[in-house]
Amino acid sequence: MSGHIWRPLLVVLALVAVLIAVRQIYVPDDFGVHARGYTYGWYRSGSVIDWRWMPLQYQGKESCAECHQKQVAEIRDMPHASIQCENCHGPALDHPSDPPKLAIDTSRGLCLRCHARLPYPSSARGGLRGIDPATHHPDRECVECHPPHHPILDDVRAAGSAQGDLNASCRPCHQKQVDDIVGMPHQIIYCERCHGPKGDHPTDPPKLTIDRTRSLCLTCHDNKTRHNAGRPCVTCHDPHKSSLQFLQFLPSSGEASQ
Amino acid sequence: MMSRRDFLKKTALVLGGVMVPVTALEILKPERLQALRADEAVRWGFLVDTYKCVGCGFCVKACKLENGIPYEADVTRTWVERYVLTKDGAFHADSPLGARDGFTSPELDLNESGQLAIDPEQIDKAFFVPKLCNQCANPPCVQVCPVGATYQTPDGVVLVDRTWCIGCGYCIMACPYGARFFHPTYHTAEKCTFCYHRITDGLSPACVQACPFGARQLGNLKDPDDPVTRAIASEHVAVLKSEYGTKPQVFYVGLDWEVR
Repeated sequence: MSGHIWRPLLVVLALVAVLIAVRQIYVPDDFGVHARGYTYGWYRSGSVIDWRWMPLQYQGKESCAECHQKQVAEIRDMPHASIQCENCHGPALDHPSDPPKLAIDTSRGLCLRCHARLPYPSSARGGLRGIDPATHHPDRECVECHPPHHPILDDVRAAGSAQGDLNASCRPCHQKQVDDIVGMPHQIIYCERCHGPKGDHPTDPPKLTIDRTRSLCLTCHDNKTRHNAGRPCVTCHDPHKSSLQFLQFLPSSGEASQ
Repeated sequence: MMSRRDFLKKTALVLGGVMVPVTALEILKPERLQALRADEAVRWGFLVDTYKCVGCGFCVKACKLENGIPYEADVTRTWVERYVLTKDGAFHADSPLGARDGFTSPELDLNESGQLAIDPEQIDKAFFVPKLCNQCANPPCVQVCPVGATYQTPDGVVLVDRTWCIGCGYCIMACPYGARFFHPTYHTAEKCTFCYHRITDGLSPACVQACPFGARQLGNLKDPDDPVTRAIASEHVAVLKSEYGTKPQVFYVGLDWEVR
């Protein structure tokens, strides 16, 4: 055979050899045909291991219950029991080592995912308790009034001792105060909202700090900003009484309640 | 005496001649192929109950955080679509940010066409449909990959090898369900893995775990006693775009004909 055939043929063969040599070096040993054949199973099998070793972010409620038994028990019979802790408290990752504290999402937007009313009778969404976010206290956070672990205000109103349930830990010592507020408009507010964080009271702190400021009342009663401006609301209004019994310190308070 | 030219020619010839059969035959060995086709005990399948979904989007949030999908970027491995069918026969659908923040407004977000308010009196039916990769038995996205960067595992999950993907985007075009996208950080094709790192460790996928209403379930289709397998066998279920022959492994309860 003459040279003009051999020469290009050799060039081609050399290129093929180079290609194969490069492939030998560059392509990992575990790259090849696997279980699903050439069409679907042509890959580097180490990649499956890579995916299996991805770090976990969400640990699940069972993992939370290992330390936070009290909170998990408290929510067990509540409507929010089906919601994973981490949906609101954020993914646990390696908590408690990293992060030592989780950032709780207490935003209105989180609650509105389910509780913004949508007029869809054919969907389960239509059956959820919903509000119109534009008219229902638009500039409040939901958790200011609705404790997310005890969310049903109607149940609180319906049951005479519900305030006790809402504040079960206050009731054993402060029976009278808890009873007083049942049936009153403020019974839907849990004690800590005004009486400050409970902590390990009565051990630590031995006495709670009551928030008597005007600004606390105005968070809900925001139509009263100009009513006796500058004076604390509790000067005249007893927060544990009804709207007709509020004028606690006036001599004619009996008349006011009629 | 051999000339230098002859020596180089013959060396190249011998090298080439030896390497072609050695490497080529290695990857073509039929016995090895056969051995690898051994039957698996697990085939992952997914069941979505559209009656239960309320469009809260907790699944989308959990998926993005679990799998490191940039939260602010408008890309997501799973998403929820809202369908509203009105009395005049029209239907409207939206999925703002893939429902990452749920559906909080009765107005539909139609992107550049703006917001669409629908009179509640005019609504015939409305519902939510969660979507994710169908982990097809015949995945078209895998067939088109020119480099072997995407593949199907023996237990039926389609994965992407981030170290091998060249970012050509063929798979994104090939998926009839729009389940693939480019990962904004890795610049490689990205898709739902059924949370492969979780399910192979005995956990639920992040979206399944996060759903408060039990609208999403994962099961082993090879196990006849698995609740998902039993539901697929005994209930009325449908798959998306069956006409494409992709054999999706995500099954839907209550799938309306309007859903694409």
